[in-house]
Amino acid sequence: MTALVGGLVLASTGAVWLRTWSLAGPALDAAVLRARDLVDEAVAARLDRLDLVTRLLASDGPFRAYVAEGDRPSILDNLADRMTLYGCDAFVIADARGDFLADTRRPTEAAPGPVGQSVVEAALLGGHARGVWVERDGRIYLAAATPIEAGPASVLVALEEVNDVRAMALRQATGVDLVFFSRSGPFGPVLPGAATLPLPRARLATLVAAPSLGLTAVLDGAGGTEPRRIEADGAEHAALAAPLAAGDAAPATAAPAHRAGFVALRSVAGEVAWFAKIQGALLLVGLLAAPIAIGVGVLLARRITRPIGVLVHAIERARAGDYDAPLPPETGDEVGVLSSAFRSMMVRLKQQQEVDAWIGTVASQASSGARTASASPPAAGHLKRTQDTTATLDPPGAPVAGPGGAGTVLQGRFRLVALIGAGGMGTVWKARDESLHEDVAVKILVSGGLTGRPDLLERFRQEIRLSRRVTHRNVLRTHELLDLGSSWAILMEYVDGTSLDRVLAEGRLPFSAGVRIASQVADGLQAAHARGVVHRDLKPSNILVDALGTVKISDFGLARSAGVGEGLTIEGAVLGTPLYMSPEQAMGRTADERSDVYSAGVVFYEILCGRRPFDADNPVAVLRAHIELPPPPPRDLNPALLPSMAAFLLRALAKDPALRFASARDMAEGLDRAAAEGGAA
Amino acid sequence: MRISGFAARLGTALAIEVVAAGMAPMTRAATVAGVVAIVERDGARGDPSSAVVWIEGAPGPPPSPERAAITMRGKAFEPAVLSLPVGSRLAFPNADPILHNVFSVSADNQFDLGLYPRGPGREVVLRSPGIVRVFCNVHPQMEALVVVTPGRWVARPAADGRFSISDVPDGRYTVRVWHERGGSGESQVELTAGNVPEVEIRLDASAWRRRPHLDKNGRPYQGAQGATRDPY
Repeated sequence: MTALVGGLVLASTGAVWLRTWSLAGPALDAAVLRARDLVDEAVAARLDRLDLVTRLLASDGPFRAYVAEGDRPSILDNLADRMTLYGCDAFVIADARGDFLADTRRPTEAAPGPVGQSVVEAALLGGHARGVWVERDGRIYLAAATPIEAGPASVLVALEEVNDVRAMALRQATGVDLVFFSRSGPFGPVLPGAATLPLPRARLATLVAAPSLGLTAVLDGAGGTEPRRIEADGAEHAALAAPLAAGDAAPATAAPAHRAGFVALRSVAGEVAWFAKIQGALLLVGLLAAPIAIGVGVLLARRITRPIGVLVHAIERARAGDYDAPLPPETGDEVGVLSSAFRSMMVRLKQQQEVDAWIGTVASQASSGARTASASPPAAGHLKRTQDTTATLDPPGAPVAGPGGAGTVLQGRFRLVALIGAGGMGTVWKARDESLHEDVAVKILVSGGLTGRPDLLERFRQEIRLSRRVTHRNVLRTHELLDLGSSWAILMEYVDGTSLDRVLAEGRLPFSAGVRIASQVADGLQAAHARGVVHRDLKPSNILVDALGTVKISDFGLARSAGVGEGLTIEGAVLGTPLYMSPEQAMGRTADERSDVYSAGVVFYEILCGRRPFDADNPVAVLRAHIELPPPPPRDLNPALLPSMAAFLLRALAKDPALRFASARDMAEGLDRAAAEGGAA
Repeated sequence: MRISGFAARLGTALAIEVVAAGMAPMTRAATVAGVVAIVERDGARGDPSSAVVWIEGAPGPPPSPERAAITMRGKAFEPAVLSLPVGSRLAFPNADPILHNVFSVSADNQFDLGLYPRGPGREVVLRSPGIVRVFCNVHPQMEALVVVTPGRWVARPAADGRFSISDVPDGRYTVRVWHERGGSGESQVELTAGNVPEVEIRLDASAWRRRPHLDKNGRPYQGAQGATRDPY
C-alpha cells in the first residue's frame, strides 16, 4: 500500500518533470527572443536620448561660444557640467578631419589623434548619426553624433558605455543573461554583462565564441540568429546572438571593428529551476502526506470494515439459522443504514421462521384434514365448529343435500373429489376439472335459496360478477356460476390449505405469524373495497390459509346475495356468525366497508389474543355484547402485546363506525405501524 | 516676539553706548544705528550680512568713486554682494582656467564684458545708482549683486544684523535696506542734536523663490536645471 502510494507520487512527479522539460524549450526560446526585443528597445531609447543631448548642446549659445573660441579647458569644463546634467558617460568633440578635439574621458590629453569611429565618420558625411562606438580596448558605447558648425569643431558625440551595471539592469529587466561583445580581440578582455553570470570569464568567452552562435556573422553585418541550444559549462542553454543597435542606420555601414552585438543566454536548468523547487516541495509534501493519508485511510477503512465484519458474522450465523447474533450499532453512515436494514431483515426472517414453523404445523393439519375429508365427512371438530358458528336457523340435515357425492361429475367436466366444508350456504367440494386437469373448489348451494326467486338469482349473479373483478392474491378467485338444474354451484379457486377457524382452534397464533395473516386479510379487504365489494360476513372460516401461509378471503358478498341472509333479515333474525358481526349489522342496519373493518378486528383480536372479544352461550347475548360491551383489554389476554397493538385492535373494534379505521387501507396501515413498533414484547 | 523685543531693547542700549562713545568731537552730526532682521520661511532668521543699508536724502558732497573687483573663481563671483558709490569702477578678474562671460541687463547699468580667459579681466563703470545683477553667460549658477548707492552713507550689517552709519548731518531721512531675498525696506529717521535714532527694519524673505534668470539674450540657460525643467 505504502509502496504503491509512494510509487504513484514518484511516477507523477517524474511525469510532470519530463513534461516540464519538454515545455521548457519553447519557453526558453520565447524568453531569449523577448530579451532581445527588450534590449533593442532599451538601446533605441538610449540612443534617442543621446541624440537629443547632442542636438541640444550643439545649439547652445555659450557652448558654441566656447567651441568657437576653441578653448579646450572651457569646452571640457562645460561638457563635464553637461555630463552630470544629462547623465551621459562621455562627450567627444572631433574636428572636421575626424581628429579628437576634446574627449571628456581624457581631459588632459592634448591631441590624441584620429577618432576613427564609424559614427563620427557618418556624422561628418551626413549630419546626425548614431550607433555603436567600440574602443580599441573592447569597451562598447552607445553613441550619438551631431555636427557643430562653430570654430574648428565639427562633430559632437555623446557616449554611454555598455557596462556591467547597465548589463545587470537589462538582465533584471529581461530575466535573461546578457553578454555584449565586439570584435576587439578574441571578443575582448571586456565582456560587459559577464560579471553578472555565474561563469568564469574565460569559459564565458569560449562559450560566446562558440561557432554555432554565429557571432562572426553578426559582426559581419549579417543580422542576428534565431535561438539555439548550446552546451556551456556542462549545462544546456538557449542562446541567440544579435547586433547591438540593430535598428540604426550607422551599424549597417559601420566597419566590422565598430560593430557590437550581444548574446542572450538562458540555461534550461534555470528555466525549470523554479518548477523544480515547487516539484521538490510537492514531492516532499507528498512523501510526508502519504503515510499520514495511508494511516488515516486504514483507520477510516477499519471504522467501516469492523461493523461490516460484525455484519458478515451475523449473516453467517443467520445462514446457520441463528437470527440473534449481535449487530453493529446503528450509525448515520451507509454502514449504519446497512446495519439497520439488516436488523429489520433479521426481524423479518425471524418472523418468517416463526411463520414457517407455524405454517408447517398448519399444513400438516390441513393435509390430515383433507385426508379425513376424502375418506369421510369433514373432521368432526371442524364440522362441529362450523355448525356452531353458523346461523342458528339452519334446518338440520339440509347442508349436504343436493347433487351427488364424491365421484359425481358436474356438467361433464368437474369431478367431485372430496368434501372439504359445509355451511349455511351449502357444501364445498374439492373437484377436478377434467378438461383443464386442475383442482378447483365447487360450492354447491343449498337448493332452496334461489329456486323460484329469479330476482335473487340475478342479484347473486351480479354479486359473483362483481367479486370476479377482484383480483388479489389474498382474495379467493371466483370462476363460474354453474347451473346444476335443481341447484346452483359456484366454481372457485382451490386452496390446498385450511381455514383460519381450524387454525385458531389450536389457540393463539405466534405473533409474527398472526401479524402476517392479519396483514394479508387487511390487504385482501382493501383490494375488494377498492372494487366496491363488501364482504359483510368476514369470519375465520371464510379466511383460507394455504401451505405457504398465503391468506385467501372467500365468499365475498355472498352472504347477502345468496338470499338466505335476506330472508332471515326480513324475518328479524340475524344471519351468519354473530361472533364476528359488527354492531350495526347486529342492529340490522346496512353494512359497509367499516363493518368489514370491525369483523376483521374481531378476527385479529382472536388471532393475537387467543380468543374472541365477545363470546356467549347464545347468539343473542353475543349480539348484545357486540352492541353494548367494550371488548376486554387485549393486554389482559396477551400481556406481551404492546400498547400500540392493543390500541390498534380497540380502534378496529369501536362501536361507532366513525371511530374505526375509515377503510381497510387505513386499517392495513395501522397494523403496519403497530407491527413496526414491535407489536409484541 | 518677546525675544526680538528684548533684542531690540538690548540693541538700543548698545547703540546709545556706541553713540555716546563717538559723539564727543562731532557737532551737528549723528550716528544712525539699528538692526536688520531677515525672516526666512518658517520664521527662521536669515543672514542679514548680505543686506545693504543706506541713507537717502542726506546733504553733503557726493561720494568719491571707488575701484573694486569681483573675482570669478570656481565658477562663482567673489564677493557675491557688493555696495559701491555711483561712478565706481568695478573689475571682474577671471581666476578660473576657463572662459567666462560677465554681463548685466540691469536697468541703467547694462554691460557685456564678453568671453575672456584667466587674467585681470575686464571692468565696468557703474554710472547709475540702483541694483545691478551680474551674471556669467556660460554658467547660470554664477550671480553677483552690486548695490550702486547715490550717497556716501552706506553700511553692511554684521552677521547679527547690526549696522551703524556715522557722521550723518541732522535732518529727516529715509533709511533704506535692500536684501536679495527680503527685498527692500525703509524707515524714516530724524536726526537732531542729542537724538540717536535706533532703526529696526524687518524684511520678510519667507515668500522668496529662486527664479532662474535669463542669459544675456533674454533666453533661458540651456544647461540650467531650473531653466530647462521648469521655465515658468
